[in-house]
Amino acid sequence: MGRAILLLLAALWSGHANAQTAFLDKREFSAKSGLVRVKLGVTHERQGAVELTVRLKGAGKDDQTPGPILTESVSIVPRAFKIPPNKLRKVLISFEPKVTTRTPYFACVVYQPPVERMDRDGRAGGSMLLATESCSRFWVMP
Amino acid sequence: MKALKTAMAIALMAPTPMLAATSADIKATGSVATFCNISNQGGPIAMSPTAIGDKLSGAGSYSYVANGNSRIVLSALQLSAPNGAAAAIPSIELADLVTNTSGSATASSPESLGVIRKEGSIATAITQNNSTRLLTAGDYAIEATATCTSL
Repeated sequence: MGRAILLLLAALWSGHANAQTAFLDKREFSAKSGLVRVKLGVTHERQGAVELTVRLKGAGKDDQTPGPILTESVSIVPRAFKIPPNKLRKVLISFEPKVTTRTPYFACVVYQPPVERMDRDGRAGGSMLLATESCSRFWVMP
Repeated sequence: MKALKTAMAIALMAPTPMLAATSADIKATGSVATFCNISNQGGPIAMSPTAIGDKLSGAGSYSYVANGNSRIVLSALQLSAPNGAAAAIPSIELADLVTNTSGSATASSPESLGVIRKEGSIATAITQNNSTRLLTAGDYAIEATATCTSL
């Protein structure tokens, strides 16, 4: 409970405008038991409650870049949820990695803004919709 | 009884060493979880035709905060255009951070190499490369994801 409050305070003091944040205390996990359990804290500062989605990713083009979303033998509870601003939601990611070397993974939380219909007064026009995602890298040891 | 009184008097008269012994047991530690976040201030960005009419452009702003080493990746840009429109080039630029003009490849910022708090502008555009340098009329959209990664 104390740690959760500290994490939430850290998010509030960071001064960011409204982005979602994913906190990960531990950065290294052992796969010896076959199952890796990663605890994640998620919060945001938008004006109202928003829907956030959590996903687990493997490495992309290098060990610093998140790659494909992993779903096989991956459990995320809860995977998607609506959360009011400045509340901390705990999420548990469980998966069964088959690694033979120290391998990076990424715990990510994404906010997909709703599509808004823009009034263009009958003229041609366009819009740009930017989803934002916060990822934390962690390592799994064989 | 006399011996007990003497012992109590000594203990009361000399409390400092006793307190000093307990102060050595005080240990203060703390840790801060690393995080990063990227936000698009203001939501969807509207784009309108430029004066010449060959391009749509729009502007917004971003905020990027991290309390440790991190980086930003802009996904490949997903462009939607009216039926029959000429080929177009989408672009998104997060000023002084990262730019992407590709519909198939990601673009990455340099690593922050430590804490970072940065705010800047977002410039977005759709440029058609037809011979008449005119945009086909209709609705256009770019969708992308900006990912910050705490390393």
